[in-house]
Amino acid sequence: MKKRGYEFSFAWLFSIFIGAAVLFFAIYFATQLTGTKRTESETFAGKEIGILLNPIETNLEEAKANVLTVRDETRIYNDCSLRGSFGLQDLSVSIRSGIGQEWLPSPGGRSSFKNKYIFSNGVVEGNSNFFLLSKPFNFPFKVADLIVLWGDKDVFCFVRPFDDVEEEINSLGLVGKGVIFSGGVDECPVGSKVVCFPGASGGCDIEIESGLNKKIYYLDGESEKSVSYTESLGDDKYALLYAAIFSSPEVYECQIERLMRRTALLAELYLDKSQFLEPKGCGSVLVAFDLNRLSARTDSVSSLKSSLFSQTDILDVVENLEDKNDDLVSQCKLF
Amino acid sequence: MTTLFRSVSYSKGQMKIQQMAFVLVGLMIFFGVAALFYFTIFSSGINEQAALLREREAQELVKRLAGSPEFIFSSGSDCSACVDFDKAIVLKESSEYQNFWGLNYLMIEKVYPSGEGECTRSNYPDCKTITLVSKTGELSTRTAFVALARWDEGLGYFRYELGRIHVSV
Repeated sequence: MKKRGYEFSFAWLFSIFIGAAVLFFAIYFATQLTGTKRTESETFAGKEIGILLNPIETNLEEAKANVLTVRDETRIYNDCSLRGSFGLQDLSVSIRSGIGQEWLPSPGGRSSFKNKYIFSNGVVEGNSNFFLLSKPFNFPFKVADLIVLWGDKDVFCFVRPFDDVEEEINSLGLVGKGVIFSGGVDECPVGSKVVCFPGASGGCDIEIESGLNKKIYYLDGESEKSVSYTESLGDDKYALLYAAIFSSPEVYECQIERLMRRTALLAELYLDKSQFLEPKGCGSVLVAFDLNRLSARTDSVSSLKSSLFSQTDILDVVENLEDKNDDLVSQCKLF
Repeated sequence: MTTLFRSVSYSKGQMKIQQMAFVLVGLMIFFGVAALFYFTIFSSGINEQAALLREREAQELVKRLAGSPEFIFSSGSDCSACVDFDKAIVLKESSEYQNFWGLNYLMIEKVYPSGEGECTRSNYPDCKTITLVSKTGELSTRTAFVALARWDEGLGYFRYELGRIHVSV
């Protein structure tokens, strides 16, 4: 009797095995490539954001506000480092994806800038918009533009703000763009960050102390932290105040140190300019003397960070410098 | 006869295995070549994107450089597109700023009234260019017109002249 059967030969086994292996590797490399492509696009986005921050910087304006719109939910990572003479502003981006992992374990490649100072939380998240406020920081000459950044997921409730602050926020059109005003802590929406100006208290996430000792207290973390600020000279006073409100204390302190380093170098630059122009009838020995003091003082404060604003000697130097420069009416001003 | 039949069956199986092996080798070579083509195109896409980003960065930077604290002219009248030429000549000697803007080339040129040669302290202001970051290699440059402000000893006030900033990233 003939027995009918199918011979499952070695060739069949081999083919199935090889087919499965090829399929497996194809799927594996496809997923790897998708991850690489995502990292590539996130790196591109990070660099683009850095470039887009250029037009936001001020020239002679007091302030500038802008909105950065993104297609997908995005996280911007703000890393401040103190490497080198000027420190570094590192930016990286993570974009939410509907396929595979929502967020990649690490953001895209870093874009580094020496001439940017971004004040924000370490990670800023936005569904579709990021809000930017650019303010010049004068100490007493222009040191840099401070770029304050927050996302549309953050809401800051300013309780009893200064009149100047309210007027400025209104004129820049930032009300409703993550910033609201209220007369009391109870009026602030749930989930918002309550920023209490002097005169408001109780239930605050951030408390502002003005007067002789200008400080900001962060009460929403595990432990209370504080930073010092100073009012910029000139028409625009509150650059550092905004910077401190919208950023984390760690980022704020790091950026302050970077700013002071740049102040020291700019003071030296103005001092060289003064010495270069003095034989030509421009500049002043008195201004040069204070520039020297400012350069020496800001060069040596790297370990003090924002607490240097609590020291009256450096603020006196800055104020004297501005007064002496303003007095150079018949001769040329240095700045 | 039986021995002959056995050797024919044995070589048939071997032939099939060898055929399979050659097919697999061919497949691997094919996938390898395809992957090579893909990565070549992929990486040239990245290079293009990087070049595009550099161009845009240079374009934006050149527009804003006059407002940078190292160049801004705030001694005299309000002038948003003015570069302090006196600061620039002093800045030229500072090694700290060599890599500050992340530029491969940065030069300020006096267009009118024109001068000759690279500026130094001895021939300033009767010179043409102040090179702050020297050019390395063949680079495409972005330029923007600015006003150059400097103290004029004879005039006893600031003189404004036409200039250009050249940058390359």
